[in-house]
Amino acid sequence: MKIDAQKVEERIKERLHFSSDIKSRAVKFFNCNVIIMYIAEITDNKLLNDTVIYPITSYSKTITGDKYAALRDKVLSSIELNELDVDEATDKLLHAHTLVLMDGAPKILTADMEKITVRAIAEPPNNLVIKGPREGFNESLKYNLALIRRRVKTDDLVVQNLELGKLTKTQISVLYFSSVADKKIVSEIVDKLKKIDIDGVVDSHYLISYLQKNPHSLFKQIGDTEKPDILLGKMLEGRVGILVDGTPIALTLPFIIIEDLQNSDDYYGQPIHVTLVRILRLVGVVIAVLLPGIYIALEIYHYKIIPLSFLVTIMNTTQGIPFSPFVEVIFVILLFEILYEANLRMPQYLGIATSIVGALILGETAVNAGLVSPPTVMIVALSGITFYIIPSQAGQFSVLRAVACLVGACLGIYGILLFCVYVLAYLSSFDSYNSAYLAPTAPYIASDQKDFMMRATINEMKNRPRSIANNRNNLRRRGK
Amino acid sequence: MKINYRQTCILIFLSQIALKFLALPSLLYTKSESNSIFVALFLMVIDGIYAFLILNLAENSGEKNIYEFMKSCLGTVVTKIFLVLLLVKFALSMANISKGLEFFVADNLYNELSWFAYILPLAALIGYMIYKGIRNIARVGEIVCWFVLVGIIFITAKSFSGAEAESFLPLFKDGLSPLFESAFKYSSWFGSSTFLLLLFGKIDFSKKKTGQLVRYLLLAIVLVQFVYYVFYGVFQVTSPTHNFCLSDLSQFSSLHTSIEELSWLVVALWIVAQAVQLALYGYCFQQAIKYIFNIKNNVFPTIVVMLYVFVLSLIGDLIIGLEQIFLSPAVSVITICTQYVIPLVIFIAGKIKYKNKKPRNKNKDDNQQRADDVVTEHTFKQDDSQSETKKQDGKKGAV
Amino acid sequence: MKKLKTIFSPRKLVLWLCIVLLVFTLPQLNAKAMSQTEAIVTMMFVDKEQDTIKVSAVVLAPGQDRTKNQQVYNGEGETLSAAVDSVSLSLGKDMGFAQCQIMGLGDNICKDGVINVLDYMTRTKKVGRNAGLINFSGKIDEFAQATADVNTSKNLSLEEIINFDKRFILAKNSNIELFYMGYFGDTGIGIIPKISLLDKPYKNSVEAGQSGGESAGAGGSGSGGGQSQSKPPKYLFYDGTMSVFKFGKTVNTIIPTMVDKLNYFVDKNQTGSITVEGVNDYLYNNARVVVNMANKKVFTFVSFKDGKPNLDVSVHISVMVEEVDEENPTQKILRRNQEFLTPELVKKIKEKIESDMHEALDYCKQNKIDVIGVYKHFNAFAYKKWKKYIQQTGKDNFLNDIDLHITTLIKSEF
Repeated sequence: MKIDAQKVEERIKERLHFSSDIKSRAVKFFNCNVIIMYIAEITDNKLLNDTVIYPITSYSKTITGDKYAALRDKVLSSIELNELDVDEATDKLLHAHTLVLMDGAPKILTADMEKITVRAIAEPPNNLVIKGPREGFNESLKYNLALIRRRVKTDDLVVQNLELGKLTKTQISVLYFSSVADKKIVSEIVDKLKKIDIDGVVDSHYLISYLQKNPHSLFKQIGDTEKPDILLGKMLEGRVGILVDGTPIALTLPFIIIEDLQNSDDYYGQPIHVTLVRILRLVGVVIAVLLPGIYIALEIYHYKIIPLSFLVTIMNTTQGIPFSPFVEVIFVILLFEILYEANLRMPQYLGIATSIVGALILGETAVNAGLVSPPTVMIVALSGITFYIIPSQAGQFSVLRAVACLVGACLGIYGILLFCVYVLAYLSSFDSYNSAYLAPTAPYIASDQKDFMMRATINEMKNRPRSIANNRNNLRRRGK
Repeated sequence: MKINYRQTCILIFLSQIALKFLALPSLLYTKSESNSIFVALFLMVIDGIYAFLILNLAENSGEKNIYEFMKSCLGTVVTKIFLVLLLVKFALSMANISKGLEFFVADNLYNELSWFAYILPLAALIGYMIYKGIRNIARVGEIVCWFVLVGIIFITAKSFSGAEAESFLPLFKDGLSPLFESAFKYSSWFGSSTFLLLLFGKIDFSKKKTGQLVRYLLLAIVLVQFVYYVFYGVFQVTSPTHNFCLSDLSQFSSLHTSIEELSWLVVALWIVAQAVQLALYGYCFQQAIKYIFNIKNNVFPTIVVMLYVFVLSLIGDLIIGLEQIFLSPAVSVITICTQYVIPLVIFIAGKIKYKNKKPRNKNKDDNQQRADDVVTEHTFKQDDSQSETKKQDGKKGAV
Repeated sequence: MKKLKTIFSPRKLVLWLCIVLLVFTLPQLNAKAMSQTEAIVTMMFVDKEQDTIKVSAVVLAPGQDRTKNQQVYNGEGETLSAAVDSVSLSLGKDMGFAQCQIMGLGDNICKDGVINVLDYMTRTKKVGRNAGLINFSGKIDEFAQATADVNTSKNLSLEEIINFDKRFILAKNSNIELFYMGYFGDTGIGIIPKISLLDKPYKNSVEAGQSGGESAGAGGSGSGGGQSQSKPPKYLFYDGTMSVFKFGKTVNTIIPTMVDKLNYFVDKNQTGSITVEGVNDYLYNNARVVVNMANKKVFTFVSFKDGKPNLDVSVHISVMVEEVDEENPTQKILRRNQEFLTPELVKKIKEKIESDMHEALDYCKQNKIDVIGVYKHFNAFAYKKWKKYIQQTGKDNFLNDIDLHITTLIKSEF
């Protein structure tokens, strides 16, 4: 089948509903009609001119034999070309490829001319570090892959590309180290990704509900990061990374809960200090989730646990408050959450004003008006602040905190204890891609304690963590 | 879903200390005074020996569950009778823990606590854990275990200086008979290895370390002895009036009336440990029902256990003098029979039947089960994988 | 069947149970703080007048003024529970005893027996068994008011006043548990501090409120009691006097000097002072020397000689000279820090200790109160012989034949 350039052009334009941004340019190549088609907004014009249009129009050498072959092999030899039929070429056009249609040619030539317009590589706002790399992913998959490739110079790194979304045709890359990651898990993930039937993938979070085993669970079962060093660190432990075009957030699997207590800073800091910080984070979690609930329980049921001098202080301040402790705490929590939501979405200069209004005026007047007591405000504020010790789990914690408050009000300390056991039992019951969610605590894995609450020095961590289902090649390095 | 050897040891440890720190020390004192410490030691050592026996049998039984194993050794009728007796034992143990916990919670934590509010969340929790299986219980136990251990040591150590060693003297002033009477009467508080019978085929012995079991057993024994020493040493003649060993000890160790905040944390952890223990016995109860009535799924046996837990609290309120039932000689005979005689009979029968051959059947299913276990619990052989890697590395180095 | 299974699947059942529970416990969401619905009793006093039981409760009263946080409520009734109920009625609230720090027992009730009172308070009302236990003399309502005033107007509490004085025979905090231990023990002896109420300040007493009259009026009026409106302030007085109980009833009161002497038998109390007269040697000139005692260790050995119990007590103490009262002190005084422990002084101290201990044992023998744990020692270390001996003498007279042998070891604290 020979191509009639004009007809093919018409056909492609028709298929794309004569979209205005599809440009075509006709040139002559040794008396032969050549039409160059591209989408102007996503095509790099300079590249197009330099590598396609100029070589075709200015080619002066004589051609003997097949013009199409000459165009392909000699004129456009400086770029990577594909030879495709009409339908495939149309798809490529949408992926910022430039099509070269030539009368009488057997195929359409396409070349990637994508104009990459991305924001600069910057430090992600929710992954700030004091020491350590500050590069963060941006919205371009290519750039993001480059950030990884730049750090890894081995044939072990595998990048497997997929395209998802019937309408968006989003590029997705699955990354792993072939010698480290468990092949079974990789193929399970790739299979799951391939089976996704969805119109469009706007962000990597669209994939989460397809990939996690308990989609309705409150707890996060897939890790995410915006930083190449973290992604690489996790991949070195045997995890699989997923990068999605159009989003700076990379996903990592399998995920275990301890990952949220760890931070990239931890590996760049002094081990003893890091150990203390990790303990602090864990205590922070307990305070964040349980403190308001325990306070309610103590107030309603167990004042005898409170030391007398402290009890007197509480009694003095809670005297005359019209609400029950539960309502009081929920009121303050609500106030806090509303302020947080408002603050988050407000322009920055207004945000400062809201903080002042929220913290000073609302809080102070509520206490002065006798609506809430100072201990309640203090306890909810403490709980609210400690949430952000582990920002990635703040959403889950606020739900758990609300449940703990409810249980504390209904059943007291006993209820809160059973609630804790329930949460523990729930967490121990699920595995994320063959990795126990609570590992290395339950099941206890002795060798992984080096990077659990306490952190050993990097040279002591000889083995890859066993908590993660990785290839059994567990030795990080040889030597002592 | 199997549990690994370490988790088994932890369950044994939790089981060994489960019933020991509520009413038991005060009850023992009524019969054998401060010499009760030796009663506890004696019975716990016996429980330890039984743990070895049963685990040895479980290891040799391969993938067979207790029903299949007993059936092959003793026949269906005897098996079912034994299982019914075991069911009774677990029912009693659950009742014991549940009632102890209820008294404790109602008396120490609340002014008024309705049985409904006590039992409903507990039944729901137990049901959930049982339904999720032994691995879930074991994992929760694994987390809770260390906190409980540290907590108990903390509370007891605080009171240690107040314990008078002289109050233990004279030793055995009325001879040894009160000790044996005490051991007989309160036997249902012991027998903490019997639950292992119901875990046949659910333990992965691939990383078995006998030393680990010895360590956990010793830890349990030393811990109980330490607490009892401090308890009897501190309270002396008033020991029988202290029904809540740990909380009373922590209360007494502090100068102030209210229990100190840290001690409360420990008491709280203790409640958690009791809940886990209740779930463990509930699981055994559920398994026994499954085997007796040949039920394949977990749903109905779990509901039966939940109902039982629920009814337990109700019975306690309706039947006056339920506590006395626990102390009746009939109950002691049944518990001694189930705790000590049945495991021994099964052990001997198993040894005779499989004198030279192990019933381990290395068929396909077996391997499949193990493979699952290896992936989920990471019980793959670390040494093997490391040595493999080392070999590879060695080769590379040579090249 | 399958449908049934899904309906009753444990997962759903758990959910249903939670919903049911929530429905039943929902009213609790609006429950007030317990500290507001219950009157929190911090101290409880019980006494008897003729056949009427009188109680006074010091109750926490929240308010911005921390100095007036405690108020006294009085009540009376034929029985203890009726008396407590009458206080409850006057308060208009249930009383919560979980934070009760002190239980005070009046002289009259102590004579009649206190075990039933303690049982009611600890078992029914859940007063902690480590609540301090005291014996008081004087009017119950005045005493309660005085303690409440001490607790509010000074940065001091009754508990601290009692604990400051180290002269307990058992050198432990006096509390209900220890009292029970004594009561249920073989001899039935219990010892608790005795505090009295004075109209005038005494050298060692604590003023009850700077403006006693004003704060005394801050109590509510109980059904039987009521508060005196402008009474002059009363003063708590505690000098280390101990009340001795035998099987729950007071049998004796030990004065502080005797407490000091009895303390030589107990090594839990490691401090104290010894005064010796007429020390005359190369360093002292007919001096009266007060030495401070520290690190006291007491070793008790028991044996039977000719069927008679023999108590060997070995007292080891470290001493340091505190005060020397002598005529015409010379410059030798400056060397005393290093060489104060002269053979003469040691001899005098030994003599003093021995005479005090003998006196203390005689006191016990006379009053038939074994406050120094003789029974316990013999029972523990010579059980069989002691059992036989007790059968002969009876439980009341076992102290009579005790032979006491004392050895002392005096060291310098330097």
